Amino acid sequence: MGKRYVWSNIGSLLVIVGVSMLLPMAAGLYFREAEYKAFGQSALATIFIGLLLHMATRQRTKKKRISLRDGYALVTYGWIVVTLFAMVPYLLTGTFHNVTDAFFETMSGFTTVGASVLDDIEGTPQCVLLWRSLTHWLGGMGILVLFVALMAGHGTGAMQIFKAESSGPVQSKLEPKIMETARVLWCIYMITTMIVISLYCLAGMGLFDAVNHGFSVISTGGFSTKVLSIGHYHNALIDWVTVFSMFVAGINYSLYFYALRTRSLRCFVHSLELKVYAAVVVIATVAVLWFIAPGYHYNLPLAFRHAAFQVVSILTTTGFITCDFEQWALPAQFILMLLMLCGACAGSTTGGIKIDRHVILAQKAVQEIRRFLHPRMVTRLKSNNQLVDDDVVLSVMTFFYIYLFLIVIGTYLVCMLGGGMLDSLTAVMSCLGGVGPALGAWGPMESYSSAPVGAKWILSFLMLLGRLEIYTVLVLFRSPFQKRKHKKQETMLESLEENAILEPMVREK
Amino acid sequence: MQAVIIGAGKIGYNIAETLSREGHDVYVIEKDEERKQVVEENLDVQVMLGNGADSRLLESIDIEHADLLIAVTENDELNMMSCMLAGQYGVKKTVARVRKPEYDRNNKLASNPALNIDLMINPERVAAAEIAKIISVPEAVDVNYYAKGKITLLELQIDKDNPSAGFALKDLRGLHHFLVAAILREDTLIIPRGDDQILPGDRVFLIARTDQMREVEKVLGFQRRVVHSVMLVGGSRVAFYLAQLLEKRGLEVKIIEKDYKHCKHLAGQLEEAIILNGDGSDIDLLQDEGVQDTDLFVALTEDDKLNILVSLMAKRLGAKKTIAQVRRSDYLPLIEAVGIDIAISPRLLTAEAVLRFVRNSEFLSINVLEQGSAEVYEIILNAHMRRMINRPIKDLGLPKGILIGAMFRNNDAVIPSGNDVLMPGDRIIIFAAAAAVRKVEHFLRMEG
Repeated sequence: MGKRYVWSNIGSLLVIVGVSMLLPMAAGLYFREAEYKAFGQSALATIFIGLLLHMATRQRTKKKRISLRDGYALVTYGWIVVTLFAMVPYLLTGTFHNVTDAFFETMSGFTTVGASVLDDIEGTPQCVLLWRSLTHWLGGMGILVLFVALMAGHGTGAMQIFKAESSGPVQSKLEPKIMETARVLWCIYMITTMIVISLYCLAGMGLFDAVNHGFSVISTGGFSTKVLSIGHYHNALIDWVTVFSMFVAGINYSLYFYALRTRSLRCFVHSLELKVYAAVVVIATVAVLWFIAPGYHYNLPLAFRHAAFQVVSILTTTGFITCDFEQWALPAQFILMLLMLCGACAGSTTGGIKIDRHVILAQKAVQEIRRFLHPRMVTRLKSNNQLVDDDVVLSVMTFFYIYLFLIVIGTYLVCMLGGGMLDSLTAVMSCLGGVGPALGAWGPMESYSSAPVGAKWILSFLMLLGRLEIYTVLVLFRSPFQKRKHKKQETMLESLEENAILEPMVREK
Repeated sequence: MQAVIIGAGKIGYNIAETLSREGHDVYVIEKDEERKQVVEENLDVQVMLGNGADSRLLESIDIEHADLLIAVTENDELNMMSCMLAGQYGVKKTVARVRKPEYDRNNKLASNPALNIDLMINPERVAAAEIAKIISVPEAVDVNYYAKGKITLLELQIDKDNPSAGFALKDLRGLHHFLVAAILREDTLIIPRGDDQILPGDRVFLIARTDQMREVEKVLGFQRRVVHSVMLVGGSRVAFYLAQLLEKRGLEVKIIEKDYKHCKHLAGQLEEAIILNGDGSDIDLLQDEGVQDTDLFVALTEDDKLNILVSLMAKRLGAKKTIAQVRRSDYLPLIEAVGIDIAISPRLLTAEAVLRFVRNSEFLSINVLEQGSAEVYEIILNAHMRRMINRPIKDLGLPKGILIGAMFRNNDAVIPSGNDVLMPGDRIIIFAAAAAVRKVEHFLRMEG
């Protein structure tokens, strides 16, 4: 029953993705580009296959309770299947000629990494560019969150899906119903996107570019319609609008929700995570400015603009750029590299480890040090003004460990396949964290097109792991171990029974 | 005055006793038959058996003519309902004991006029506030503030090696004015004259300006200490409220609590305090956590005997000052005799706070000292109190056992001498020995 549940819902998911392909098709028609046909064909095919899949596996019987594993399976497999279908337009339009590049670009889009293998961006049809940005926007808040928002009546299963796709150590419902929560989140998401698009228009960007960058910035993706990204405009106003929008997108969305509900900004003031987030931005900007000021011949306004932009862009894992930060002094580059490990607030569209986890880890570290002096001390942790269970703390610690472990393994593999040491390390950190540009061969001014084929697949997989926050994907691999454990327990029980240890209990009954 | 008291627990009993002694008509409603008998045997009050929110019962004791209703049962909700009911009968003043923190915070419920509660009192909060007050002057047995905090009354214990022991009061001189209002010597309260001596073992009640008290204490051989670290045993509600207050002042607080789950709860509610899971009577634990260096040790478990025991142990191990919470009021005199510095009884403190509230509204505040051996009043003089005003104090003819401890005029406090003249609008602090308490009101009322 689990498999049927997973595949029928993936069918519905494909329908959503198919329908969303109609937007670039319309854009293609408007701009009189021949590529609109490709989108029409893929949309039709995707919707058709999706419906077929849904019908074929639909359950006739009443829904039973779905298992945790089914929830995670739906999210992970859903993301992979959706990516496979969403890359079809790239192949049909001839943007990419091989599956590797198309898959990489699509995965990078949905996971809002923003690492691109597209070299000639300005020469690419506009409808294709719009599709790139749209994948960001759909993946930012989450395709499955959208799915939960649109398809009613999933009950506990929907909560599983929602948890599996949302970011951060603790997920909380904003409304009593999970569907309402998903809708509210998408509403806030859409409203902020509209605001950013209009801000871009006011700042002097063309409507098409504004829409694309709006999608990209609010989802903290990083795809641009220009090779030089935001740096193309050389416009201070556009830069600052982007910095502001990226910062806003890095804040926990539930804070916006509470601010709207209580009609006050108090929740922003009380949020420790937000304060830390802002402090990191300020400190990192000042530090970077300190190191790069000589390189800018002390043109402080420009240096400050560039420092703030790059810091916020990397911290929120967006990956827009306004300058080639590889020309900066090394300490400044190192700060940017560290920021890749940081990430913004939980519950936002950003990737990475996230400030909330760092706050929990730091608090725990302080407590453990204190416990050396007071071995009997009992401690509790708070995150977002709520008490955190010890289980959550443990899972955060494990997350941190696996995250670092993945960086090490990933770097090793990419190195093996022919990447340079710094290139591989930063590329893995960047893709796992959802940032985009790395340092070295795949730096801010280059694309990933030069990466070896194997490396592209590894990086694509890391993007998925990073976006779904590791556990959702990894639990699917754990099942063989679990089964073996079960067997062990059974044999233990048997031996216990043989030894008649359980006998008195049986007798009592 | 006709007063109705619901619940004859420790607090109710204490209030009933005091009000009845002062000559008021007191009705007590108690649901437990045995307790009813105890009250009936010991107090001159009318005791009814039943539920305090039973309107028929209330009507039977003529609730319409009651001036005061005090609901102090164990049950918060019942107390609140009784006050609500009293409101419908037009009772003038109501007091409810409300312990649950979610009720007594300033919220829509507490501020709801339909509840008709004039004073909501939380015994644990009162006790915590009292301990916090003592901590600010750790060398004192008791501390009270008057006149917007500008006047302090300290109760100080004179030890054998105190340099001022043996001196007559008139020989004690310092830079600033002060007043030794009373001396408690072997359970008798003396209102001293200039040639009375201070003896070891005395408790001295000292009144001075708050800003000068630090200097004044030195005259009596005391040096103001600063409390840095506090250790609490027992994670009761009192401990929680106290830790909250002390955290705000930036003190180092440790709480030792036996129940692990409760430790978890406290750790989540408090910010800086160190919560330790363990037995408070475990000497190793106390020593590991540095009881020998703590400035103040407070035992706040549910068990009186354990509190006494661990406080004594802490004192022996070197804690500078120890406070024990004791519920049974008959233990109180005993405890300070065995060497624990201060005994705190949340119920007695609550009874005092309630009494302070229900007395004449001309009194801004009333403090009961040393289990009723003396009371301190703070009042504002008006033109009708002719016996008090426009005359030097030495000519007022104050009865024996009453003295004017301080005077507060134009936002400035002074310790008056016999030649000072009181005027309408002055705030004065009157100190009265138990025997003279009744005369105070009489003296103030008298016109002519």
